[in-house]
Amino acid sequence: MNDFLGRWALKKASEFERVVIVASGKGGVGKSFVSSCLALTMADRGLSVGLLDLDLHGPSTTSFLGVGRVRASKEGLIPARRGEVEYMSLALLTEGTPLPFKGEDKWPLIYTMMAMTKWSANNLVVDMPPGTGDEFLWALRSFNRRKSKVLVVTTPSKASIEVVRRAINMIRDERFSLLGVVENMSYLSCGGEKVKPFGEVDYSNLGVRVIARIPMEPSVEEAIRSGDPPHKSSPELERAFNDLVEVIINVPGDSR
Amino acid sequence: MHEWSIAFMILDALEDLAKSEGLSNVHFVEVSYGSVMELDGSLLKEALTELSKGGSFESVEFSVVEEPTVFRCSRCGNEWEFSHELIEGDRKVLEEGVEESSVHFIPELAPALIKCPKCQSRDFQAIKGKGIRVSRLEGSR
Ligand SMILES: Nc1ncnc2c1ncn2[C@@H]1O[C@H](COP(=O)(O)OP(=O)(O)OP(=O)(O)O)[C@@H](O)[C@H]1O
Ligand SMILES: [Mg+2]
Ligand SMILES: [Zn+2]
Repeated sequence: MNDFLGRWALKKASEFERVVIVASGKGGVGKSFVSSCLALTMADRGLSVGLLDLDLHGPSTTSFLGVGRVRASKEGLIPARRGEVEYMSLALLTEGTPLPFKGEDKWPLIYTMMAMTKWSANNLVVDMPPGTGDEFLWALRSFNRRKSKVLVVTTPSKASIEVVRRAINMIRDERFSLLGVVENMSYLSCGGEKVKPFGEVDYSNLGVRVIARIPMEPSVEEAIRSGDPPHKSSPELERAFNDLVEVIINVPGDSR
Repeated sequence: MHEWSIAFMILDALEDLAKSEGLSNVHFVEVSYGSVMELDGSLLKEALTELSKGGSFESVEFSVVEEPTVFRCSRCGNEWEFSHELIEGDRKVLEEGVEESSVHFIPELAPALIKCPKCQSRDFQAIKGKGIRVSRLEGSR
């Protein structure tokens, strides 16, 4: 009877007009990079957007957005800001301490964070940890099914796709909408030519469409180090994220 | 300050809470919170009273109680009570020009910011005074 924080979190989660859950199942494929660049690009396009980092053990969106300051008001925690992007992450609330949260403690941690945060954005991008554990389950359970979709990130490697397949099956079983697959580190641009170091991958038997191919851009690391906007590391990368935002804005209903 | 947002959430849930207890005409509500939250109890009470004005809980008497938060270490079995000095490695949240610990807003952050004083493990659990709850509801049936 006493779950008023959980209840409030659900209410807040359902208030967004559009939620993009960036997941994969596989680790290290670029979920945090893609969600950060996606949020930054959406903001550039004039959308009001927030980024919720749900990676509880290894929050890393601050690598791309910087460590901003969280404030508090009568209405709760005011997320940090990078330009027009609002963002909330455990990396904004803790220094480099270990984050050893246990299964049964994760839901209260997530919903307290959600209940306590006062977003002003209409659009929310959610960065997921690797795997399909509590964080992912919470998101599937809590965000409004009509307004939320999962974007699945993979690299063009069989090792990644085999894990991604499990996540996609889970999303289907949970009757949640899939936005599509983003192939990250898809190719390198060499003198105007696209080089695919990992070769061409066939996604047809996943039954999901590929909605973006993001180039592998060596200058991303430089952007992280200098604090420059990562989504503008190269014109090619910027274009890829703009095209992705275009797809998201014009999404033709469910692609379940 | 964020006591106000907590009061708002409690009041939002109170009607259903009373219903699930089979109570109508609630006249007394007690809220208990763990000391790890470092809330201002009198401010929370003030916020509850203020925000309930003009609604169906206007005449309710609110009581706010702080419970000591007690942790038990899973590694060495040590039990200890929360105190502010144990917090380490938090980033501060700016609340009205004052720097507050993040654990004050999200008590579930404890394992990231506190270690067992005896063995330094972060593998522990709150066995008392965990979060915040409505601990007593009185009314007529
Ligand atoms: N398209 C890209 N071009 C260049 N570098 C990239 C690209 N995508 C990701 N990276 C880099 O690869 C590394 C891993 O990316 P990221 O942290 O986003 O992965 P992740 O899927 O979120 O990992 P985790 O599973 O640990 O959450 C980072 O250093 C990031 O900067
Ligand atoms: Mg990540
Ligand atoms: Zn111990």
